[in-house]
Amino acid sequence: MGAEAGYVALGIIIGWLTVTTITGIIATIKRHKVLMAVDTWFVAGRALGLLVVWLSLGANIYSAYTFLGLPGAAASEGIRVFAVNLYGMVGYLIGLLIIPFLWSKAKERGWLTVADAFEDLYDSKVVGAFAAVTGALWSIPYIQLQIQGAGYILEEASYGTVDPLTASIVAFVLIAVFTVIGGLLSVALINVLQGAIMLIAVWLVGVLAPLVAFGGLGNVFKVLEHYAASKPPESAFSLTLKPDDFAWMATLLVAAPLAFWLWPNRVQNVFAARDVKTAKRSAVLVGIYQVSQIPAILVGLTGLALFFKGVISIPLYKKPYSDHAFMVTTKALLPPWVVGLVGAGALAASISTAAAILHVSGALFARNMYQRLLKPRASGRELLLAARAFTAILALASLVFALLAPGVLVYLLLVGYAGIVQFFPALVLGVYGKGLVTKHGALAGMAGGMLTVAYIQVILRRSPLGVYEGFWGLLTNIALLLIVSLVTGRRSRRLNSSVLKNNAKAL
Amino acid sequence: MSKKLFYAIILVLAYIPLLGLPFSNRVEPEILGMPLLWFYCLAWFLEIFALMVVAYYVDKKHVWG
Repeated sequence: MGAEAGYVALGIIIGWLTVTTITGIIATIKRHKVLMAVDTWFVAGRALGLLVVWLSLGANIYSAYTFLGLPGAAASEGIRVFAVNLYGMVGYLIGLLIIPFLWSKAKERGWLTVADAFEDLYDSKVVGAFAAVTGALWSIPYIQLQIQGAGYILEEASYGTVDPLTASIVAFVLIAVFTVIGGLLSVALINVLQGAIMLIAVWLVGVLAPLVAFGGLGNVFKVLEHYAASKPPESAFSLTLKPDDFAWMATLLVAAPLAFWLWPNRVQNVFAARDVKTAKRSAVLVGIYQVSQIPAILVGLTGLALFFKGVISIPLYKKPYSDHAFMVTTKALLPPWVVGLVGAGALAASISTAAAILHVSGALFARNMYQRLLKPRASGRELLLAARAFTAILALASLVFALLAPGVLVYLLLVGYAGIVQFFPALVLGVYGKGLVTKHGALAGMAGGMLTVAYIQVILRRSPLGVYEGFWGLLTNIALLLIVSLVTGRRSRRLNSSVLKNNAKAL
Repeated sequence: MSKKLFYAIILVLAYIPLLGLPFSNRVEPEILGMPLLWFYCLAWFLEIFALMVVAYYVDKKHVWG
């Protein structure tokens, strides 16, 4: 095997991307109702409609994180992967509370973006622009994750014929192209197919891998117990939690779910929902996909056990090889055409996720930074240019990080969450604590929280006491938010009352 | 029951297994081929999933007083 297997797998991947793109273009040009809108399926038949809607949602939720990140974390760290898995599930659960809250406020106040919300709550264009720009900056690790992941998929699917650098750059170009042609990929029929392929792929490989390789999950764990007892010193793998892990898991589980619905692209989806019932239903339907993370984890475990047995020669226990675990294990056990099919689904998922985030970030910048703050009278053309330029900068920054400072996929995601969660206190207190938080307090809190996360990530490199960096950020955030609000609040109340008096005189 | 109380209970139920982690942090006994801790985390994961489904249906059907 080698070149020939690579041609088969890569051929399927390229074929799939070509077919989806052409279908997308045709559907967009012809405005084909059945192809375009999921809703038309709903009328046709309820049971079928629900399945179609569910599958097409799956295409949006899957990304390189599920396919590569989770198996990688399972292979490199063991049980800690469950913390990541669990907070995602909690994220969907609290979606039932956060979605109605965000949606009804957005309808009432006319918010379209997360930055609109901040601008309105604090009656300040600066706070809105701050949210737009920082939201985009914290998306960089998330985009980087997709570029790295898409690169790994191409590299592995080529069976050694494409080198890592070329693979990353091709991945980046694909993401750039799909960001420019926009929502073309989000054609219902394609999404349904895509969702189905990924669902089948992750369960097929997840169930088959332990069975084919070891005759069952029990044997995989037996091998891993031996591995844990005699593992290489650099391997952090553990079947049980180490003392530091408890604090990490608890703080991650409390902090990260709060960020779940505040990602600029997710907020946009919630705000744009037709009604709150639809939004909640979609959230629960997507939550079902979360269960598919279990087979993904099993693939990572099987891969590590295969490495220990000498079947796989790539050291899956260490960075960056661990994030190749899903593809490497699939390659070791299944024929190239399956590798191609799985790779195609996972690659398309990574591309569409990255493209969606880039698209939203560009629009946010143009609307809430460029237009509101820098140039209120900018023409439509100019705004479009600003959006494109900002998108390009973000994409390039993500590529540079992917090439020069590649990270472990799961941790890239967690850093993004740690930054995004800093929106939470100012957003909730802005709505419920009227008058408690001033715009200076909100800015100081968010900036302080984000800087704390960045400081831990870049300078310390290791979070104190093992606590999740997003949690340290939140503590700084809330403290600064309250202190600065208290100080500036008194002053502005005095100001406000004098303004009111003047207004009364004028009337 | 008010909606607030209902969701408070749901959230408490979702987070309570955190307290059991130190007591289940073992490999033995194995359940369904999994080390105890792995089984515990999987069960917890499925519990949160079940809570989500229950909360969704109760919230949808129930008229909150």
